[in-house]
Amino acid sequence: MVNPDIDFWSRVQFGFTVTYHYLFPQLTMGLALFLSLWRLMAWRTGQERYRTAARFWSVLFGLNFVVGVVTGIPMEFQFGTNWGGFSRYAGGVIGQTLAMEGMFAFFFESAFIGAMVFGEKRFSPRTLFLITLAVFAGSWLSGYFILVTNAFMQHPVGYATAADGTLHVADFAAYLLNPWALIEYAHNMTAAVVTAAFVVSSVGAFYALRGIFTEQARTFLDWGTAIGLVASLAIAFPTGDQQAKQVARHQEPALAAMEGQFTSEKGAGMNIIGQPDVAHRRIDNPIYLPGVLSFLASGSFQAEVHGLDAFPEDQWPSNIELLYYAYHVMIGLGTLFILVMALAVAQRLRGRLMTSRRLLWVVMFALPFPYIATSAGWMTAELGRQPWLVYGLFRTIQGQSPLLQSGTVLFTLIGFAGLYFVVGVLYLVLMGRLILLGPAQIHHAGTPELGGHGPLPGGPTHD
Amino acid sequence: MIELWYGILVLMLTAYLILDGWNIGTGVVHYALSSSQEERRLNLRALGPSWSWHEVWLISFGGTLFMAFPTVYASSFGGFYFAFFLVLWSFILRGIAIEVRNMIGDGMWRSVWDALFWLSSTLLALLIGISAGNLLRGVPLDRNGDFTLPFFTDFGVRGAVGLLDWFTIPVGIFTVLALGAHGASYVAVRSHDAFRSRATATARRWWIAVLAALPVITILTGCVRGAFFTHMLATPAAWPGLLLIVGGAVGLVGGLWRADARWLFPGGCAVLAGLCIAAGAAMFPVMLLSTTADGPSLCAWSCAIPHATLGATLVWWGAAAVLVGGYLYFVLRHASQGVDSH
Repeated sequence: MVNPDIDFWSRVQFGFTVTYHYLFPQLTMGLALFLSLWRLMAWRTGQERYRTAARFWSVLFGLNFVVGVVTGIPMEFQFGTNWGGFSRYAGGVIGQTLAMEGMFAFFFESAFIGAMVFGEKRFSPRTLFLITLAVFAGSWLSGYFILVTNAFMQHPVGYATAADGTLHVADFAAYLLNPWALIEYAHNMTAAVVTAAFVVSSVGAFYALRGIFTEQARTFLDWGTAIGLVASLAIAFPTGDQQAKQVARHQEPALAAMEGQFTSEKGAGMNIIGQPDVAHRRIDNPIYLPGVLSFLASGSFQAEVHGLDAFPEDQWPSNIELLYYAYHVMIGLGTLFILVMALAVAQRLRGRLMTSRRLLWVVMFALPFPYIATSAGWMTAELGRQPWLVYGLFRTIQGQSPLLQSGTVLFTLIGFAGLYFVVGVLYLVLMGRLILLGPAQIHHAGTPELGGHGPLPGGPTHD
Repeated sequence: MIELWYGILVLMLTAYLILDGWNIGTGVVHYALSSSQEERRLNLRALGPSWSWHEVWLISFGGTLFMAFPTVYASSFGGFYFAFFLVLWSFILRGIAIEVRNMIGDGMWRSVWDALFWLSSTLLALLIGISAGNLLRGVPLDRNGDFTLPFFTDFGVRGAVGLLDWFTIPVGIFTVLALGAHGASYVAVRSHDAFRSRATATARRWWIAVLAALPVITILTGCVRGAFFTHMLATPAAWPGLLLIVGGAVGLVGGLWRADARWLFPGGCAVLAGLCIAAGAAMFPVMLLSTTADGPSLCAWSCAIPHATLGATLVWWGAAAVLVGGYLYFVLRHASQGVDSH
């Protein structure tokens, strides 16, 4: 009954659709913070530039939100269609948070999204701020419920096993306040803010380089780089550091594989670069910092770190190379983010950011890298969890729907690839168009019409 | 406790069919109702800025089913694999079409998204109806409570059945008609002047077709699942549903007579809600009926998570439901501004 082929394609399909989906919510969640702050500033200071900024990014937010919604529904469906074994086993637990996400977060968030994007003329600055705050709270709440669900798979707590072997929630507080979830949430939401900060800064850099919408360019760059620097620092320390310590506590084989630590040793070094050679159980061509891994994992340069050899092979993550590279891509990019944002903020403090053309080019083209870093981060978390679906309790290979065929899964995977290609092209074209039209155009054309989301403000022709 | 959660699920699905039903129905009648791009723009505008709010009912229904009856969730979603992926793709196309149709002011661009909006909405209505037909007829469960459904087998309704047969296809068509009629009367109550008359005329035609098709579907259901109606009449929980159907039908006939959407729309809502509630109550406790000899049907009693957890869940679910009621008020209030032609 257990077929590794089906397992493989179902994992690829879930991994592909969830990675694609998450490109959108990370910007939604991060941008919601910016929008709330700008609406707050618009209300408190009455300055037009904050209203213009909030209005412009609300329109981009709207498009981003809808793609996030429609690509999100397949995630819930796939628990049933492809992972029926897992749903039977753990549905009594993870179903709770999926239901909560809909009931508490989605209804809340999507009730106010229309008013946020199209309510400029109808509501006062104060009401607009409160509406935007509601969208912010709703989107961050939905993130929390999803991370509690994921945290249960990483570090199961608060459950009981029924007579038939299935799980259900025994302690709601323990399940909802899973320590893993709290740290993972802090790390993940900081990353979402980093993504939004880079997107906002990138658009600001684009306008600054072109010499258009100068006032908005300055606003975007000021806010984007300031928040971006704080978030880039926070993503490494304390949130990333705590996340690594948590993996060290509860998923030792995962940490060993992430770091490429094949053998246990005292005073273990941290590999900066090098290729994992799983067959010979070593890192080829390594450059490493001596003692640093011991220090990061337990606070002492001499501490012993368990290598993969300390664990039976059936508990090793199933794709060590990919896990190692994903982790190192995330760490490397995270370090670069701090550098770029620190440089930008330094120039800003000297009053030279708007004229530092080389740096502006770098900021503009940094746009895709937070997306790559968050995807690599999630790959680290999910590949590190292998070979378990629920860590230590339930293996991934047991999770599939029993009557599925691998060709069927491959068929729908190809279908998603085609459809998502089209969606991606449309998204990029339309976002690019909105950015080219710019904040001033959206300002002059007034409120786009409701529903069906009106003719694009300032578009070339309206028939 | 299990009856309560089953009831909650039926009501959530009913809310979804009414609220997103009018959005889907608007797409179904996109061409029947509008003859120009300008009218199609008005038609789309009737959806309101919070159209995606209504889709949350489906997501929350799925989450609640998953939480309370994980076995049914796993079995049905695995069994309806292809049908549900088609549903997902229709959802994606439809959401994109609504969102981007007016983003570029070009006639050909709008024509493409008008067509995709109509196509994905119609496909969605058809698939919802076909899925409902499959639930009524039953699915070929095996000994472990799993099943797979080919698109079709011999179009018969016993034994090794497929997604499509002589029963599920008419139910699918009936659903397209019913949601289309519902959508047209929704557009009618939200619009003014000439466009309102046009929408009302369309709603009348489609509701006449629905009322004519209803006895046919009833007879077909009686042929496929004989005990269904005797069970319905013997189940008190189904009676409010039957009342809603009768009351709604009276409203519909009144609306047809007076050509007034203010009668057609609530009448249609009541009929659709009544059909869901009566059918849901009549099926209980069977959640997935088996068409095969060796696989027993999946019953609510044996598929639910433990009672204590269901009881504890009721606490947060009740609190959330109150909040949802508040949002519903907000969404409907802001959607009630009406659609005018400028």
